[in-house]
Amino acid sequence: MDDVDELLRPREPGVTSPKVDAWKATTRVLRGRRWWRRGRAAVMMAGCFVAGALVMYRPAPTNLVVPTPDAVAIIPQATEPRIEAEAQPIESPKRLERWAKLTEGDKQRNLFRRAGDGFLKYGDEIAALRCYRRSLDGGTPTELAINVEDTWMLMSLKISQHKE
Amino acid sequence: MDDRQRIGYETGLRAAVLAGDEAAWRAWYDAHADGLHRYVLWRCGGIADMADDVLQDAWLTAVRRIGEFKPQTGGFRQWISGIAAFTLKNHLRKRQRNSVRQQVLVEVAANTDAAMDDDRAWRTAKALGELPPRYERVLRAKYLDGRSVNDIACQWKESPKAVESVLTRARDQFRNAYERLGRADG
Repeated sequence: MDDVDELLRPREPGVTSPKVDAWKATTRVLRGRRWWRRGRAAVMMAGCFVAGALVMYRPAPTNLVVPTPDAVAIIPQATEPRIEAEAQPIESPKRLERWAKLTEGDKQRNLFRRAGDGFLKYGDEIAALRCYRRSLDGGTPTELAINVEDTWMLMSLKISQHKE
Repeated sequence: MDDRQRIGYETGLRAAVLAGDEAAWRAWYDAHADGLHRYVLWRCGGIADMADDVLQDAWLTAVRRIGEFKPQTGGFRQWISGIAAFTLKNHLRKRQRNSVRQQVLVEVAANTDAAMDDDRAWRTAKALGELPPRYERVLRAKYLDGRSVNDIACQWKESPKAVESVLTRARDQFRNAYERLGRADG
């Protein structure tokens, strides 16, 4: 049996150094890795470019389904239009009156009527009365007929005109 | 360099090597090449050509699998030594298969001094490979690194008596394995 200490004692390394070969081999792997990373990045960029180009130059689809009027579902209006109208900003009655003075005929009467409605709403009865009177001047019998949507002041004016 | 600094340093090197940085790899290689060479040569029982093969394979495996290296679990030296030990085990297995095929040629030259030296080195390498990691570590510290029992005890945070006991058991197991291999070879 050889002496254990003798067997386990390290021997001097050989003349040739293994360092050079191992280093060369490992650097080849590293270079390969570097090129692989670069190549992968280039391929990814090229892929993105091709995808973008495809999206840009894609032909328009020929079988595009356009919904016909029959296919459109008619949804009943659930909201109350009256409340919506009230929620909208009210036109200035003064502006309506000025605008009405610049127009003629049916349009003028309609604008005076709307101005009268506005004045009445703001509590300016005198101005409302003035506008309503102008709106009834030269009105057709249909316009002079009492309507359920008329304000109390307009109704009163129409009644008094009928009486006259 | 304390453990935290080492982890930071090795994590940085690992990331650089993964990105293909040659300078980072050079730093690692230069720091550990000589130590690893000495270790592999010792584990090979002084057979230089086998040590060279093992060393090259170990470095190649290390650079290819650097992504698996985790500095938190241990240093680079420990990791690459583990790779070298594993590579050596494979080499020994391969060499044994080849030696069986070349038995006749070996027998012709069996009586020369060189052949006897080679046989001794071969059995040493095999016997070292059969030892449990703790025994291998204590023999390595004692014979390769040339450290005293007290020094090993201090590093392992164990009593000198315990280290002495491990060393004795490691030597005994090595001797038994060495003799058994000699009997098996005839």
